[in-house]
Amino acid sequence: MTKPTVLESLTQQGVSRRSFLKFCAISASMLALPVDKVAAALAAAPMPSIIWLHFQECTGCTESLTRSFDPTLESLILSRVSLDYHETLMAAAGDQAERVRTDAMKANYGKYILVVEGALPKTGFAAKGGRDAIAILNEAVAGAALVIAVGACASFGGLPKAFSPLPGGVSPSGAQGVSDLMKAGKVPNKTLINVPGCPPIPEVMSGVLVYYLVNKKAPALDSNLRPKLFYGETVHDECPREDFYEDGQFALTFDDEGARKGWCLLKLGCRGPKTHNACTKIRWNQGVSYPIRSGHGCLGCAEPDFWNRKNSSGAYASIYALVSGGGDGDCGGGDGGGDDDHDHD
Amino acid sequence: MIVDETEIPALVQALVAEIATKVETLADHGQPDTLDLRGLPLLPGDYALLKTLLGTGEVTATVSALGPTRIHETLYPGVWWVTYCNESEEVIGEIIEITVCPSLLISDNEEIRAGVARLRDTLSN
Amino acid sequence: MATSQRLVVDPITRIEGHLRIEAEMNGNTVTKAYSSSVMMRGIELILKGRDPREAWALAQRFCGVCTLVHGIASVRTVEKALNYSIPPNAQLIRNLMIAAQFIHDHVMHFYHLHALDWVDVPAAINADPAKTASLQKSLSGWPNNSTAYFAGVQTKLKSFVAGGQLGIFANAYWGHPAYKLPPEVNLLAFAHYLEALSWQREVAKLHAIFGGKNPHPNFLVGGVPCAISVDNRLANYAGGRTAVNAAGLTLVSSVIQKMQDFVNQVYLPDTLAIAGFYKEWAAPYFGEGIGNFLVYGDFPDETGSNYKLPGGVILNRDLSKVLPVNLEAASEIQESVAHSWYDYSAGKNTPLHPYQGETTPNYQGTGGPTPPYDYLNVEQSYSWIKAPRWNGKAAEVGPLARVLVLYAKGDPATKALVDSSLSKLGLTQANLFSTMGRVLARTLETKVIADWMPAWNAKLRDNISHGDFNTFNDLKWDPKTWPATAQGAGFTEAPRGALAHWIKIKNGLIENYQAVVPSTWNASPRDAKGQPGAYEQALVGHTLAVADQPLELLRTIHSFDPCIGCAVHLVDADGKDLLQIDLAA
Repeated sequence: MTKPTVLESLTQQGVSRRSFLKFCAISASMLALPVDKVAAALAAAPMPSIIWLHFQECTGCTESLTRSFDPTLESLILSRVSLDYHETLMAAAGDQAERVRTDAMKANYGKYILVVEGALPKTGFAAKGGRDAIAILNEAVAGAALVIAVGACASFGGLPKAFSPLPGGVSPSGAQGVSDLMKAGKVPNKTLINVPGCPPIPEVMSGVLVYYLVNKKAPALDSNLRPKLFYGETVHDECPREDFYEDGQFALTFDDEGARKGWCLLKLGCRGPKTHNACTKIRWNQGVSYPIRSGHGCLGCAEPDFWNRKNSSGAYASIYALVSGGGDGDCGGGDGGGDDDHDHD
Repeated sequence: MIVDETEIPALVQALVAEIATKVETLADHGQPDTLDLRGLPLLPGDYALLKTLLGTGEVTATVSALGPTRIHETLYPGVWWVTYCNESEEVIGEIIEITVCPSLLISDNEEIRAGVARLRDTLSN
Repeated sequence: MATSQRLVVDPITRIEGHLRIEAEMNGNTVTKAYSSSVMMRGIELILKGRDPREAWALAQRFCGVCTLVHGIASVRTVEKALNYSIPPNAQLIRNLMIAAQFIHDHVMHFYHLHALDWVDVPAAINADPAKTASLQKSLSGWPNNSTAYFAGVQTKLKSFVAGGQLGIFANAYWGHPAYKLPPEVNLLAFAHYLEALSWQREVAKLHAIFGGKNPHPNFLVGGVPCAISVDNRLANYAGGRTAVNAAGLTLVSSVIQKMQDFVNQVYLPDTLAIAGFYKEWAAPYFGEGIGNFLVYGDFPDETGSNYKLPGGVILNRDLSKVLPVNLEAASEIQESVAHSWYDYSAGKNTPLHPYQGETTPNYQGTGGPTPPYDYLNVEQSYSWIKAPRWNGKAAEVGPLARVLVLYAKGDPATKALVDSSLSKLGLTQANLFSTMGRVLARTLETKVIADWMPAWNAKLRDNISHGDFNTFNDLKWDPKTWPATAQGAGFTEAPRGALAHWIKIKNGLIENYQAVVPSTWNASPRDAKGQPGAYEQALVGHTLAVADQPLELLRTIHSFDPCIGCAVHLVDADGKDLLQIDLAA
């Protein structure tokens, strides 16, 4: 059965042309694309099929997507994309659910978008329906036109890949991200977009989907396979508290006068200068706030291995490493580079 | 509204200058353009100032499609302020359109034809 | 019993995490059920050797559906261990955040995770929008009540179904004889499913103001990180750079109002309306098999020791006695691994208190089948979830437990609400001990908790207006102020039930960290005595009307609101013996 185009699907549901244009204008604004290009592309694009697989995850990425307001999840479900398999939301369970997945993958072979949420452990330690997780992923990647790894876990291994800082500490489950598995040849190589964050900003997740629908290819990616559109700048670059940073005005505890005045949180462990994400640009929960605005420094959650940060001598550095002891004030600046912190103890 | 020029922050000045250039292109070549306010690092004060500077002209419209979109032509013809809201009245986009008429206000040809069919239907009922 | 007669449902969908149910059947009726989780991460191990002050950030990622709960439990655990008190404003802000999580989580659970078990969505196509509008008006004053509104929802659904692109509604159990709702109720519920998706974004904003974002807002040992900046003289500095300012507090107040409105005018009436058609699911002890209930309590007052939501244990459904709970007592709360894929140094059959908690995974050696497999070896070990017990007894945690304890302790609002709801449905107290009783309890506690929020909000604003801006106590922030060793247990009531963490701190770092979470209690496998866990016992006696469609089982499993990412937290990939790590000085 040929799928209707996105516009046809919308029109069938009584969505007007103006509504369609409005959606296109908002998406175009988000993606920095011309409105008429977005409108023309979505008018002609067939409804895609999305297979969303969960592995070692906390479901925070799915939850985050439901906080998106442009486009809205209910509209994604009902019109713009065909969310063919998603365990958190789908009505069918057990064998019926597995049938949905295999049928959708077969019917859309080579054309579906595979979204992966969660890391993958070593073979034998995560299963679904009696099958090993990596085997399931392998099969799903084989038929995908595009793979999107949402969240820190699918992108880089995330929390399951983290390890105790004690000697001999290793990831308890040998967890890896999708790109690790592709590099190791455990799953086929396909076009992969990493959309990291713990969780990612919802509009970034849906924006990447829309970009692909419009352009039929991935946006420009950085060396960590993250769209530069959303991850090209650091949290620090766009931070409204940046002028305090420039003026050397830092909060030194979480409730001192500086904290109450909204001063820079660098000395309280903020990883903004080293974290590429759109938190200070797009912000969270319809622009209401973001971590720094609500008084806590950036955790660096869009960067690989952010749960195992090191100081300059290579030893474990806590999230609050810059707080205890004195500091020489030379704690940040620059972007990219390694994840060294300056030793402040 | 008269605002002392020395009070206008640099970013707002730059935006107004950009709008002026785009309006000239519209007038000379009929070429429309937009300025997306979402992407700009405007502090609340800057935003308010820009809105006040541009003001409201003769036309105000609300388009009800996936939530309200509020449109008004500013004091400067061809410069339209478009605020997209979702069904919960949250602002989800804000664009300045430099055009003879914002795209959302125009009726689509296919919809016109479908509408005629419905109109004739009401006659036969 | 031959394995070929076991029914397998895997994956259970519309939950958090990965759950597998195997059931022994007599014809189409369940005689025994086995609950298993088959995926794990190892977070308790990852925490060893870390700064206790950052534990909340990692622990919170146990779960993103019940976001916040592990962050709260963790900071409380560290504060308990260090005897570290927090300012009154921080307590109030935490209470508001916890309550908001309850309301958000429960409403989303009802509509997006559970409703599809009771609501036949495609059948809404046959509804009369005008009748649906009348129904809505009879239920409450909720403004989306016009014929045109419901006709619009119906049109959306019609074209979606006609287009054949069913997406998440594909290949489900539509038309199953167990669906009992008239078409108008189906349409009403489906309209609210959509409304709830957009409403829940509002609730999340409260977390965003106080915690920076949702999911996974930020917390802080010693208070909350969001400094208050309502000093008007700072307005020029603060604008755009801080969140807890006049605009933020106004938003919080309006979110609280929106939450109460939705609960009172949509969630509660819908629950009662739907329950009215499924009274056989409220038959006493159908879907509730253990009869023991455990609550730790939550919503501390400013002293930190009095809980608005009281804790306690009810045994054998006896509401006349509520027994106290002690998280520190060595013999009270213990975890068994008799049927779980772990070893204990003292032997699998000796349960351990979390302070002595061990995490030594052993999958293959204890009967774990190599994938691909058809069945688990249920006579041996069959789950990554441990089996927690209270004084040796299995217990259920969650909304039903909480409502029963509130009721038993005579909370006036709860008593009135429970009694009037039961009366409206023509039911009695005994009907609470059932699948539908649990569903009802979830809705009722949502209202009870939502109604507590305005007072906390008012107190916070009152404190601020009297010049108290304190949100953080820095007295014990520096690890140099801590003793060489410390231990403590912190708890909270997560939407799914009683949740606690136990920590041992040595020389400023985490020596051991254990979590016993609500779904560990509820989804637990059998213990050394062979006592089943709550899910396992609840499913006994369920009959499938259609042999290969597990709808009836889903109804009861979903009534517990499973969260399996929480329930399982550790593994070692090679199955090697992991010794307790000894931090030599």
